[in-house]
Amino acid sequence: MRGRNQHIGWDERLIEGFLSFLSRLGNDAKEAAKPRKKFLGYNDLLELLKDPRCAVCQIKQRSMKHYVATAFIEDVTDGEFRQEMRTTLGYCRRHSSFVLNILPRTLHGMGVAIVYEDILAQVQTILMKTPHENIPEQNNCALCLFESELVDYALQLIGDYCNDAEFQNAYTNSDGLCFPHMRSLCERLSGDSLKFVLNDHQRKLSALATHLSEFQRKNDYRFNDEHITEEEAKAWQTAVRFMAGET
Amino acid sequence: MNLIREQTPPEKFTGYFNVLEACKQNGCPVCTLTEQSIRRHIDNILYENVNDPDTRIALRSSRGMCVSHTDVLLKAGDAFGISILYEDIVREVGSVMTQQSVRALNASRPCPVCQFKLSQENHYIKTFKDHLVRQELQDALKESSGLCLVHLRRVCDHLQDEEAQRWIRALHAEKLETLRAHMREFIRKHEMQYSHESVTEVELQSCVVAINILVGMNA
Repeated sequence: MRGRNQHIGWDERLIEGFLSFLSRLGNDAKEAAKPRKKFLGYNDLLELLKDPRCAVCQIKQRSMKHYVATAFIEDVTDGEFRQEMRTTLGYCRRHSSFVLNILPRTLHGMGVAIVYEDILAQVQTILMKTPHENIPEQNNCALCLFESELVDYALQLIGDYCNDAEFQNAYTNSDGLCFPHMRSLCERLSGDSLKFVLNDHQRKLSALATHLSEFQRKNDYRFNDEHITEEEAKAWQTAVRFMAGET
Repeated sequence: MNLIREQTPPEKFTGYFNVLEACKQNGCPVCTLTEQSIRRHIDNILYENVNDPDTRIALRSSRGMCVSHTDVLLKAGDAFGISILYEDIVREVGSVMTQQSVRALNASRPCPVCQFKLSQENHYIKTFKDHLVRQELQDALKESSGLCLVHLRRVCDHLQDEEAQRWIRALHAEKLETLRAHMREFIRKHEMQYSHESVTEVELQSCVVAINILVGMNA
């Protein structure tokens, strides 16, 4: 893909972290096991953990939003970008929904119109040909690829600091990651780091299950004089969001 | 148009009339019907099957619903039903964590609503294919927004008759031309010298319709 780094639109601190992550890919395991120097990306992560949403989902959404906005404003007349969009028939269903969500707020509709008119022209040509030519299928969504790189980066960052006391404290006080990202994180961890993440999430899930159970009990007419706390009232949404993650 | 006239279509049934009705609405009729079915299915789970063992096992094994169906679930808004279903899932995942086994965290089944969606799509695509010989359905399709590309491909895959395939492809190519014309107008009116011309609602929505057509969804 053309110049992804040019328009990913990350904060400079995130780029710094990403480049550092890439440069470390070739290093041996011993080198990788050394505690990492804390940098701006780390501080950013600590800030994100203060939000009730999953930090990985936040990094992913923020960067993807910037990426899409920049692509439809700056790359509309870029030949390579247009060719890529024609080949892949735009983005996949999940990411198209993401684009539609940010369309009214972030995107300039004209850029989207130019790119998608071009894609439709190609589909129309195929439809008018003989029935033997198959109707094309959306494939290799560029945003899927970008998303997986972002998630890799974010999980690598969290994995690197899992043994750090300051990070552990911030993580314990946060709502943690969503289940899909927590599972992916666990696949990368071992030993004490793995134990820390699993134990921490088990404690969080136990509290969530109690809130859910209390919410149900207090809906019973026998106990409906008992006050439903805010945490209990929103526990059903928290549980659903935790299990599925965010687009 | 004379589509494989010698072949007798199956008897008309509720599904056929649902397809005709869906053609009157905006967006791909198969997407519309499938989305309606999914909403009904989720309502049904919440109102009747919250304590059904099979439903609970399926949701536990899939670790809940996928992201896209989670949105439908939350919109259903049945806090009590959802809290019963998800307490079960959360407790299951919590107990798996005590085993300190990462592999056991993985879902052993796909999202049950995704499976239901596939069966519904197949059902409506078969209805389309079986009844496309009827003039009534052809007229309804001409008047509709047309199928999305995902469902058009699947209908074409099932159509044996080359003439029928040619007809449905030409019809959709025509619809795409109309949509592209709206998009071109939208782009033109963004140019400085035409900026005094007002953008119509159809032109404004053309980008959204184009994206929906390519990926198969009704926004």
